[in-house]
Amino acid sequence: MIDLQAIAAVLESDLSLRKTLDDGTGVVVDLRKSRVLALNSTGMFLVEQIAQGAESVEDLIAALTDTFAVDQATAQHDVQNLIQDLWQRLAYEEG
Amino acid sequence: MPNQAGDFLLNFDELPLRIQLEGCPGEVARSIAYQWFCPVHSRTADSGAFRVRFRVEPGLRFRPSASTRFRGQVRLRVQTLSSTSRLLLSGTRTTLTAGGSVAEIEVHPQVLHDPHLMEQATGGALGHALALASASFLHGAALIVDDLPILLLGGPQAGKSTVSAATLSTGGTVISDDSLILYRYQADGLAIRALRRDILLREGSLQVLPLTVQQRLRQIGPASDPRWVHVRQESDRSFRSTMVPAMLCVLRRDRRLAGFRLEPMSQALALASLIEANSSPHLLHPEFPGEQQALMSLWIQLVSELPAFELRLGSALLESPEALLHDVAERLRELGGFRVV
Repeated sequence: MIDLQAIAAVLESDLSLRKTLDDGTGVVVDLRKSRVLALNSTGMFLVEQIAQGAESVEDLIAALTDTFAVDQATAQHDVQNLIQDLWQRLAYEEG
Repeated sequence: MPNQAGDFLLNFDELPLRIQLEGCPGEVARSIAYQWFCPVHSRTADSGAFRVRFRVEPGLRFRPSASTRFRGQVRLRVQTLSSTSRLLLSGTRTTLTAGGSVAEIEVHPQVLHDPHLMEQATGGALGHALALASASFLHGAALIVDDLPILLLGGPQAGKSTVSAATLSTGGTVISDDSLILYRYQADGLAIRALRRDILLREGSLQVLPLTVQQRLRQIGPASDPRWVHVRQESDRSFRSTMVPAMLCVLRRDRRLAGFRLEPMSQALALASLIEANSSPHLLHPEFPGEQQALMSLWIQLVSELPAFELRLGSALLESPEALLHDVAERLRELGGFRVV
């Protein structure tokens, strides 16, 4: 079960580093594993929403469709993919 | 009888950075200074210098191997605890403290008088000293192809060394094919400096060079060694020690391609490539906030100022490297939007 609050906790801690760049793209660096995640502008937007406390997948989809010209189905697909990726890379600790 | 250990001051004129080697044999200090293009002074006290203190520790595990002297990849283990990092190499243990301008390096007695091993042992301290001077120690190549100064990044086996050899064969200039320093100059400009005087080229890379160019290179080390070494000369126009980059290219080998493919990269992908090319990953650890901020600031400036491209090279790199590099340079000019210095 993906826990958005657990992802947010890592994003807001000093275990990770994130930076949005001039062209809207950005990176999230996992400082424990020295891994870098490069994201496009919608990916960075969602990362910021999670870091700022978005409580559910539905919140993220709504924020995405409100801000970008993207349909509901695409937004749902993109949000699910991103949080799955963030969960596996940043928050999920096996065992 | 080996030289007595003493104190030596190495001056990186461009950065500015000064490193004081303490407890270092004279012949080793002079060899390191020669490799790093640094004037060296003996027994010079300098309170502003980054200090590297060597201490002999016979208890360290050390496994000497003649055939590993010029092997490229160095196995480094890092332990970070509180504000201290320990870097462990065979026969050496380096202790670095966040924000501190002193590195303690314990070395096995057999390492102390070997200039090459001592240079490797000092690498972690150099990376730290560079970060404190807002400079970055990167794994990458720096080349000037058809007057275009290119910072070329790419993982192991991506082809940096082969492109460097091909650059030589086209009459271009090589600053480094493997290790370099990114630094600020004249307040806000960015420049690249070769880390080492010797340029190491893999055997496979040399095959792209014309015989006349190969003959200029000198092979050293045991016959089984996979690398060739060229000792650059100041008078040799094929080599320079510094350049101002006009673009960043991230190199990928793509054996399905015949020629090449060049695509603009986002700033995020360019920054990710710089982070992956960072030779001092421990300095991004949260316990080193000042160093982390200095490095990120430098890399973000670079990706903000320079256009970045992903460069995929196919089989033509080995079949007709000169024509391929000319075509790449021409395409880069067409894409435009970069400074040529």
